[in-house]
Amino acid sequence: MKKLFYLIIFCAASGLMYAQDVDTSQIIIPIKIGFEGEAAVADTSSTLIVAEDQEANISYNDGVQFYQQAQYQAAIQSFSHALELNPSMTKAYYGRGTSYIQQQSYQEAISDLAKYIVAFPKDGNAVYLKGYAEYYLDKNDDARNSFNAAIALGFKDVNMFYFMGVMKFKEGKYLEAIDDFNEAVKVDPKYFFSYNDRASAYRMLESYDNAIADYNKAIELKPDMAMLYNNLGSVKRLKKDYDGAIAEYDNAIKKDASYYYAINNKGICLYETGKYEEAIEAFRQVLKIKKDYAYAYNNIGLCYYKLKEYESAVEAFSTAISMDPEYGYAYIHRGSAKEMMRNMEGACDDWKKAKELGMAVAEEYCSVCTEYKK
Amino acid sequence: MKIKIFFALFCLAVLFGLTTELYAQVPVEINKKEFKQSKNGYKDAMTSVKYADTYYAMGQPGAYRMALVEYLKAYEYNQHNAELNYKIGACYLYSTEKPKAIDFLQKAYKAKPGVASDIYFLLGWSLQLNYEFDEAIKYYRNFQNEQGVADTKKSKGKGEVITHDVDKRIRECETGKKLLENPIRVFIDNLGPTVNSKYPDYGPVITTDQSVLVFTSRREGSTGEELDPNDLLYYEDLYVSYNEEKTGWSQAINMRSLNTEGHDASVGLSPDGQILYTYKGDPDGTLFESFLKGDNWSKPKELNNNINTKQQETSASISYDGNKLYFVSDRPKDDDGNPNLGGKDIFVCEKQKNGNWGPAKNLGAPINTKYDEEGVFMHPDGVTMYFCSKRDGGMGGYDIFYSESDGAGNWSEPVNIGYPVNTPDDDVFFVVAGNARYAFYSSAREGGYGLQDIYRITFLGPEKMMVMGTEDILIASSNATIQQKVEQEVVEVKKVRLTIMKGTITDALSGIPVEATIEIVDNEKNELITTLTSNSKTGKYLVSLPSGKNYGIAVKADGYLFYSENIDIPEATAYQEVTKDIVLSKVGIGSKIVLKNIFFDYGKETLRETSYPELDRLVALLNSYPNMTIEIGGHTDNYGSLKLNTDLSEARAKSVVDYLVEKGISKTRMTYKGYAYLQPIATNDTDEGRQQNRRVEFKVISIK
Repeated sequence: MKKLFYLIIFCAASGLMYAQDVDTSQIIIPIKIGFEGEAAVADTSSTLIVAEDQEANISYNDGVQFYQQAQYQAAIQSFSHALELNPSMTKAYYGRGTSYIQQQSYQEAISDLAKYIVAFPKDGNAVYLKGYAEYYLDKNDDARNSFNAAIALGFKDVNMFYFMGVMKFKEGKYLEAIDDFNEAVKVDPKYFFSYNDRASAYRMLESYDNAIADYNKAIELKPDMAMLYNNLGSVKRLKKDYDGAIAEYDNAIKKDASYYYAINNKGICLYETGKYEEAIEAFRQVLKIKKDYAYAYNNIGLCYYKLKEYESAVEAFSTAISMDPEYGYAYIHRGSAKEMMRNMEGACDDWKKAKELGMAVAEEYCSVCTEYKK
Repeated sequence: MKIKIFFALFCLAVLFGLTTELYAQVPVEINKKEFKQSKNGYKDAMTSVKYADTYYAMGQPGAYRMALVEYLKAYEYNQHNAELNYKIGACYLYSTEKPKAIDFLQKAYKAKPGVASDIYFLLGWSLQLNYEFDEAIKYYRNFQNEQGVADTKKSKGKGEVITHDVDKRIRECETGKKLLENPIRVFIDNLGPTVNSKYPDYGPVITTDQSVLVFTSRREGSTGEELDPNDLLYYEDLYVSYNEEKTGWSQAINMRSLNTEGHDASVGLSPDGQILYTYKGDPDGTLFESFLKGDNWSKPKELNNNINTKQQETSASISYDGNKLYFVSDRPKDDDGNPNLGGKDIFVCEKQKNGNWGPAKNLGAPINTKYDEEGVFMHPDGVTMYFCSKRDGGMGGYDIFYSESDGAGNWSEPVNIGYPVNTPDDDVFFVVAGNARYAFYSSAREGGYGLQDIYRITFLGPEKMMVMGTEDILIASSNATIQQKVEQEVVEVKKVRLTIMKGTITDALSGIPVEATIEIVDNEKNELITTLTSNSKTGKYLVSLPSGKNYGIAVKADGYLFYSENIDIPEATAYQEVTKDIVLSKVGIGSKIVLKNIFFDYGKETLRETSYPELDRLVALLNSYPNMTIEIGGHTDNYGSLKLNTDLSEARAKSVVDYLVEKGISKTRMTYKGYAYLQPIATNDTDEGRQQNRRVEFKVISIK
C-alpha cells in the first residue's frame, strides 16, 4: 500500500505572485507527491532469480527514485519503460501521471490518471489529482466532477475545496465560492489563500466589512505579502475610507517597493480626495517601475482633467492609447478633455472610437456630434 | 443737459409719486464738516453732493446713475466719509453695476457701523450678489435683529418690488450654496462685437435653428436718439443679426421699420422666425406682433384685448404649432375668474377657429407663485417651458426655471436650471434652441463689452464618465488581475424629442422661391395642427415636429399642384434636423404629385383612415379646377409577381378614385391605372427605396 502526501510550497507560489508582469498565465501551486515503501521486488540486486516482470519492476522503482529526486523527466522515462515491459502495471500510470503534473503536462497526466482510476476507482487521491490537472486546463466542469467524486470517496484536501471556490469565483458565483472557501478553511485554518480569496468574493459582493475581516486574517497568517495589504486597501478605498486605504497601500509598498498596483491605487485615493498633484506623482512612480502601464497614463490624464490642464490631459490619454489601442475609457476621457478645449470634432472622433470598441456610454456622447459637423 | 435731465426726472417723480417709496430709502446725510480738509475742491465736492442727493432722493435707476456720477466726484475729494461710501454703494446696488457696491459698503460700515439703519441689509445683499452666502446670511440676521423680524415687505413700486423680505433672502443664500456645490456644465460665450455693444444689449430671441437673432439694444444710433429719463439710457430699439455659416454672427442691424422713438423691445419670435413679438412699456405694458413678408416686417400690431389689458403685459412666446400664446401679465384675474397668484404670472391664450386669440387663462400652480414670473419661453418640443421667477428655490432676483407639460394641461414642478446660468442677480429672457443644447440670454458678467451683453450657453450635460484604471490580484493563486467593475451611474439626460424640418420651396421650372402655405396634419387624428408660410423672398420654411406623430405635410401655393410629404416620427425619436427642399410644379398637363400620405392595409387595396386628409386635399384641388381631368396611378415595389402587383396597384388606384367619386367628383374626370413596379422612383434594394416606390400618383391629363 502506497502512501502519498503533498505539500504546497508556499514560498514558491508567493514568489511568483510578486511577479511584476501581469499576464494571464496562472500561478501553479506545485504539488509534491512522494512514494514510500512498497518496493516492487524483494531483492533487485539478485541476478540469480529473475522474477516475473523483474525488469519492469526495476524501471518502476527507478521512476519512483527519480520522482523523489524531483527528476520528473527521467521519472517519466522510467515509468514509460516499465509500462513497455509490463503494460498491465497500472501503478506506473499513476507514477507517470503525477510526474506529468509536476511537468505541467496536464493533458498527458489526465490520460494516465484516468487509466489508473479504471483499475483503482476508489483511490480518492488519484481522482483529485486528475481534477487538479483538469483545473489547470480550465476544464472547470471536468475538474468539478473529479473533485466531487473525490469528496464522495471520502477524500479531503484544502486545495481541492480552494480550487472549487476559485472556479466559482471566476464564474462570478461569489456566494457559492464563499461556501467552498469555508470548506477549505475547515480543512486547513492556516491556509491564507482561502482567506484572501474569500475576502475577494466578499469584496465582489460589496460585503466590505467581511472582506476586511478576511484580508486581515490572511495578513495575520502571511504578514509579509504586499498583495494582501493592497487588497485590504482596495476594499477600504471602495468604502471611501481613503485615509485607511492609503495606510494599507503604504504597508504594501513597505513590504514590496515594486508592488506598483498599490502605488497606482494610492494615486487613485489621492485623486479621489482632490490631491491631484500628489496623485500625479504617485502615478509617475508607477511608471518608473512599469513604464508601459497604460492605466497610470490614463490616471494622470484624469488628474490633469480635474486640474483643468486639458492639453496635458490629452497628452497623457494619448500615451495610454498608444500603449493600449483598445483602451476604451482612455478614448472617452480624451474626448471629454477635447470637449473642454472646444475641439468638438476631435472629441467626437474619440467618442466614436470608444463606441466602436463597444462602450455603450459613448453612444450617448456621440449624440451631439452631428451638430458639430456644421 | 444736466438741468434738462434733472427736470425730466423731477417731473417723472412727481407724476408717479414714487420718489420715497420705491426702494425704501434710508435717509443718510453727508456731514459737510468731514470735508473741510482743504479749501480747494471743497465747494465743488459740496455742489456734487447737493446734486447727487437730489437725484438720490428720486429713487429711480437712472437717477441713481446720475447721483453716482456726482458722488464719485465728491469721492475723489474725500474717500473716507462713511455716508458718501454708503451712498455710492447704494447707488450701485440700485442701478446696473451691482457687484461694485460691496467695497463701498464695507468701507462705510468700517468707518461708521451705524452709518445707516439698513447697512446690514445692503451689506447682506451685496455679499449675496458676490456669492458670499454665509457672510450674507450673517448680515441679514444682524439686520433682522436690529429691525425686528416683523420688518418684512416694505416697499412697492411700479413693476419693481425690492423688499426687505429678509427670510426669503436667507433662503436664497441657502439655495445659492447648494446650487454652487452642483454647478451645471456649460460654456457661456459672448456673442461678440458684431452683436454686443458697450450699451445694454438684451432680450435675445432666436429662430429655433439659431439662424436668426433679434434682440433689444440701447446703443447709440437708436431711433430718435433720445435718452430715457428713467435710466438715462437710449430708448430701446430692435436689432437683428444672422448666423452665417462661415463667418458667425453678422453685424447687427437696426430694424428701422419696427422701431419707434420710444421703447421697442423683443420678447418672442416664432420658431421659423416669421412672427416677432415686441413690447412697449408705455403707457401700460403692451405686446405687439409683426409678420415677416419677404424681407419686410409688417407694422407691429397690438395683440387683442384678451392679451393686452390695462395691466402690464411684458413677454410672450408662441407654441411650435402657433396655436398657443404664452405671455406674462399682472392682471388681477384671468378670463375664467381665477385670481392672479401674485405679482406677474404666466398666462396662455389659445387660437380660436377664426384665428383670433381666445380668453386668457392663468397657468396657476406650480408655474405661478406669489412671486413674480417673467420671460416665458415655450420650447418647440411642445413640452418644455422655460421662464424666470423670483420664487423660492432661486438664488436671488429672478432665476431661470423649466417645467414640462404632460400635454393635458399639467405642469411638472419647476426646476432651477442651475448655476452658473443662474446668478444671485436677475436672470431673465432665456431662449433655447430646438436642439436644447444651446440657449441665449443676456447677462452683465465680467469680460463683456459693457453693461448687459448677449451670451450663448452651450449645455454640456452631466459630467462625462471618468474611470480610473486600477486592478488588483484578487485570486491569490493566480496572478491574473481583476479590474473593479465600473458602476455606470445612470444620469438622467433630458432628451429633446423634436424634429426640425427646414428647407426652401421653389418653382420647379424657374427655381424662384415660392411663398407657399405649409399645412401640417396629424394623420392619425385627421387634425390640422398648424399652417405656416414660407418666406416669399427666400422660399425658406421651418417646421417643428415633436416626436410621437405621423405627420402629413402639404405644401400649397396658388397655381401649383400641392406637394405632399409624409414624416412618421415615433415617440422615442431624439432631436434631429431634416433639410427638405421642396419643388412645386405649376398646374399643367402632365404635371403630377406623389401622394405620400395615402396609406393602404398591408397587401390590400383598403384605404386607411389616415389617408383621408390627403384625399380631401385632392378633392379640394379638383373642385378648384372643375375642368381638370386626371389619372390616378398605382405603383408598387418589386416584391411579388408582376401580375399580382399590377392587380394590386390598379385596385389601389381604383380605391382612390372611388373615394373621390364618393366625395362628389365626377367619374368622367378620372381614370386609374396600375403600373406595378414598372416605374420605380427609387431603388428596390433598400427598405427606404421600396417604401418610396410604393405610392399613388396623381397626374393632370387635361385642364382646358
